[in-house]
Amino acid sequence: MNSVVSRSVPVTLVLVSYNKADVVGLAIESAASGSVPPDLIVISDDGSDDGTPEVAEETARKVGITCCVIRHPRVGIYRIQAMRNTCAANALEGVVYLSDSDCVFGPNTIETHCEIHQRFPMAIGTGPRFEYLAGTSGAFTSTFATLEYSHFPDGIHCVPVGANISFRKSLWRELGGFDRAFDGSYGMEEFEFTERALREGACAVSDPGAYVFHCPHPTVFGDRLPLRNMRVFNRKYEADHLRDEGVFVRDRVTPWYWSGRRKAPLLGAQVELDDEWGAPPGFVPPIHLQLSRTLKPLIEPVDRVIASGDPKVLAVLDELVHRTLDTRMLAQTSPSLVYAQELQWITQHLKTRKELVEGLREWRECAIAIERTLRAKSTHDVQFGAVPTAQMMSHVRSA
Amino acid sequence: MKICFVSYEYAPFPGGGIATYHNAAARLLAEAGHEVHVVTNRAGHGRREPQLTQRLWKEGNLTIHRIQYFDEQRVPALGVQFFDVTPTHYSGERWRHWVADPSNIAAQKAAAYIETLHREVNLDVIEAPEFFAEAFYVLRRRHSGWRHFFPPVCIHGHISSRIAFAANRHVWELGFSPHRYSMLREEYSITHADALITPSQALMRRYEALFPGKLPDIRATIPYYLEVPGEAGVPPPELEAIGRYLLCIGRVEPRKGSHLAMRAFGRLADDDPELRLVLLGKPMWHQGESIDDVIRANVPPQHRDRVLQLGNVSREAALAAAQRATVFLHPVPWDNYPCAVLEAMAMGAACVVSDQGGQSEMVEHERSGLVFPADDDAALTQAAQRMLKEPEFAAEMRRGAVARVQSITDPKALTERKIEVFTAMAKREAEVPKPPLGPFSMPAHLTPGQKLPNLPGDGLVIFDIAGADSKWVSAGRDMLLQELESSPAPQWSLAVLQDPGQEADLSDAWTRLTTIDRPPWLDLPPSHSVVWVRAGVRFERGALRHLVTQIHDAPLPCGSFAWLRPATPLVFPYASDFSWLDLLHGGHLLPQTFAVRAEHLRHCETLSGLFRPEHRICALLAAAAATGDMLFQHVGEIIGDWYADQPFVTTDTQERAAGYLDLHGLLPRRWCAFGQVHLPEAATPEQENNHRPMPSQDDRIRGSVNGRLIAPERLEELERVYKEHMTLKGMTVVRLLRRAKAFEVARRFWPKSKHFLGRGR
Repeated sequence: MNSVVSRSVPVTLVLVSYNKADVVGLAIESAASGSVPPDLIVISDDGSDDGTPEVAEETARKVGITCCVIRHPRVGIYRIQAMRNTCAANALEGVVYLSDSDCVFGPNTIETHCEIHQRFPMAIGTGPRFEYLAGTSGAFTSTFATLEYSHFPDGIHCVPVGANISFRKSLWRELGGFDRAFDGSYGMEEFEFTERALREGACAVSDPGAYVFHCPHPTVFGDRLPLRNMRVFNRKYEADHLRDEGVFVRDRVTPWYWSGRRKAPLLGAQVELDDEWGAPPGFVPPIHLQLSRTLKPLIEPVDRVIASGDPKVLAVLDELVHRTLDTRMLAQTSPSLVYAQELQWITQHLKTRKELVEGLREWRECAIAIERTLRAKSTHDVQFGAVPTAQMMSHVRSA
Repeated sequence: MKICFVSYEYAPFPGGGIATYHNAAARLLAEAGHEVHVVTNRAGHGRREPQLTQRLWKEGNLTIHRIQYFDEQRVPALGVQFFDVTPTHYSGERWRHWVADPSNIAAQKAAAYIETLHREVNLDVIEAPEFFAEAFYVLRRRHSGWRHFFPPVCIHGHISSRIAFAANRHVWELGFSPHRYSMLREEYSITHADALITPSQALMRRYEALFPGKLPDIRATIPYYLEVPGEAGVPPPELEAIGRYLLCIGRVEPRKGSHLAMRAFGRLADDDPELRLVLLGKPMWHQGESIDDVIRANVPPQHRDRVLQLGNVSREAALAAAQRATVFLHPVPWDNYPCAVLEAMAMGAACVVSDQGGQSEMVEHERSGLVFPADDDAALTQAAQRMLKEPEFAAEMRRGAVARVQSITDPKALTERKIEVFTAMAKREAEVPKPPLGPFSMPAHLTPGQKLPNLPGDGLVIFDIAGADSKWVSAGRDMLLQELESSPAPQWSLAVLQDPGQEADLSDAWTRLTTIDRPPWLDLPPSHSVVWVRAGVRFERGALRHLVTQIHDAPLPCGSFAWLRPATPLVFPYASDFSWLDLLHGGHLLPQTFAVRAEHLRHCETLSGLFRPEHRICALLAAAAATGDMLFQHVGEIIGDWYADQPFVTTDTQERAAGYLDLHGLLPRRWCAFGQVHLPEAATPEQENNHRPMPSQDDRIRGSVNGRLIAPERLEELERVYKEHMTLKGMTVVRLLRRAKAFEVARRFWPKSKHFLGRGR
């Protein structure tokens, strides 16, 4: 075991499951093969009928970790908070690491969580969550910008949407646990728990080394809109979460990450992370992340449209700029945002083939020019191209 | 020793005898070499210094832990939870009230924090005031099988809310439901503590009279510590130009006898045209009566402008005012051990105090002041006049007061006496065997070769499956098998209550009975426990033990019930302690499982007519509570889950429980009307988006929707109104009105619109 943590407190891995027999074993095995395996696994099972508890117990026995499965009968309602509280109540008196039975843990994930609580006695620990989406945009991708959050130095908003948080059991007890008002729907519950912890004096610590891979699945409990929980949150704190988080992400998190700032993992060199993205090795970033480094993901399809008169090629470009690419996730004032918006404008407003190709050519020339400027600068300095961007914009508008 | 004080009344909390005591006690005990922890509130009261605001602050032997209970106005923080519930977000106003009470929130948070603190530092003893009951959850959990998680608790008497409200004749405060719960918690703390300290014999006598034979064995009367500033401060500027004045320090309220002081002043003022009456303290007379009204009622018109109300002033200014006062009055009808008198004596004031309460234990008549019969304003006038007319005598009394106070507040002697009490508590605690509390200690049921600890004593578990869904039955069966694994027959046995002919996959070894059979507890010895468990209950492993432990461990007879996480997020699931009277109130939350001694069920000779689980639980609980003249007490912690609908007292249940009590001669014959059933409130936004906004057919039968009680005859009407509202809400014009927030306009011309436009601003 390569642990650099001298642990004075035990760690309990807490999972909630419903019909996850196919992946729960993977979750337990990955946790057990990490640099610090959990001292106890507590699983709250919501009446699975596919043998999830048995698979979990068998796998835990195989890897030599004590496992306690709490079998709840099905009551129909999605009562994840109640089940999480059940798990935490059965956890050892130490660090409680809360995740899901469909998550696979990085080699240093649990150790990183332990390290967070070693250094910060009253903290909510967290890290990025990647969706394992083979064939979609690489082996895995970040969603809801959790990668960006994990490199941000502070604040409640770094808590990811998915289950990857840890806390001391004493803090859970003091806060009263997860709020049952969030049962019945998705979202906001971990955020709300963190909000309460912060108000109590805790800090939220995110570490890029504490990453998990989530195995996506079709929703199993029917339609659960996160908006419902957002309303519950807003009512509880007299807040407007969507607005507050939007401002926070736009003004702070995204520019921070895109200006190249990367947080070193708490465990240091022991954790292997990709130099450029600060993500696990092999990370293939989604387009909005790629655009923070290069305009190539836009230039290449534009090239193809210019070269080919095939409407299908144009449709691909349309799909990319109007549907796949969410410009809200691009940094304000960055050239990628400006160029993406201009490309949207061109493809939307220039109707004839001739106008369109001409517009795209102009766009391409400027984009290549700025790409060169980009290359000449440091990899991590993305504050580029103010003048060419302005020239480009005026040119395209006049065209 | 490792001592922990638990009170929100600690610096920078302004004023109050309890805070003054804690400030001094914590510092002096730490200086005496003891490790002292103070668990207190985090409100800054306008102060910014780190030692007064940081969560953790350590100075020598003294460590201060500040937890976010509530703000300066005792309003709990936004989003604060009671276990997994934000009280204000759940249905059932009555049930939310007791939970959202600041003393309840503070007590729960304090217990959660102390559990961790005790693990880390291994405390020897906790001391907490009875007022505000901040040690309630520590005590409750100690008596419910978590004894080793907390150190023993010494309750320090200051004054209980019930005594304070009664002294002030505050009838509304005495009757206000959340206060009644709070008073109950305070009294539980007094009777269930490991030790009781009072600063005065007067308070100890009062508690002995209120709770005969129910107070802790370890009791002591130890006066307050006293800390006065080395240098006298400056009196309030209003007193600069005043020569002679009578002074009262403390809240201006009946409890402080302010009206008696006014009457005495009115009589003295004619003879002494320079004399003034100065009132230092917050005005807190009865609601609806101003202090000016009180002055008008007690002081002749010509002297009223000589009564000065200065409100709250700094402690230093108050002490300087006491030093300069011609006579210091404390004419209370009764008081515990007023710090104001102690401090005034230390400042050399000429004190005139009443004879009812601790102040008469401080002042020796004609040696260190004058003592007069309480509530006798003529005697008070006479005593004050003597101080005014005989300056030599007054000077002698001033000297005597300083000497007296020095003798009764010697910190070394007080500390020794306190440590004696704490040592006795720690010694008794050491005699109780405790499992290890190490962080890596695995629960018994997860450790190979270990079983759960035995259930205490002997008893019978009744598993009520009549009419229950088969999946709840099988879940409950497995759970009970595990719980009783280490407590085999004949000590503990299991009986199943089922409908006649009901099929269930249960062990043949279990006794089967129906509601027409003779109840099995009638054949048990009185000391045996009876545990009632409905199908649909799941305990955390070993939690059944907590339910039983409480009825064995509590020093006073009681029943015990569990808090269980409910299936729906919308109901408020956690009932407070309750008596049989509470159970006759429609809409009362019913527990799904309880434990009681067989002797308390001795009147319950039949279950006939109680054909629903709610009927049985309500009637049995009411009969047991009435028989034992006792409360049913929660275990102070959530110990499992409840998967079916939350049971409430419906009209039907209420009537059957009342009939059951009458059948057994437990209900007063002339009592005919019981508490009313609550009608549901309007649908909340959460309900609109949740699963069951409208009552289903099953709900009609059960009489509840999402835990809200519904009178069956109102269901049709409710459904009609609800549908009408939802239709209107969907109309474009209504949406536009809502968006424009044109509530006032709409309400004026269309009164009905308030139902779907919201309440407005």
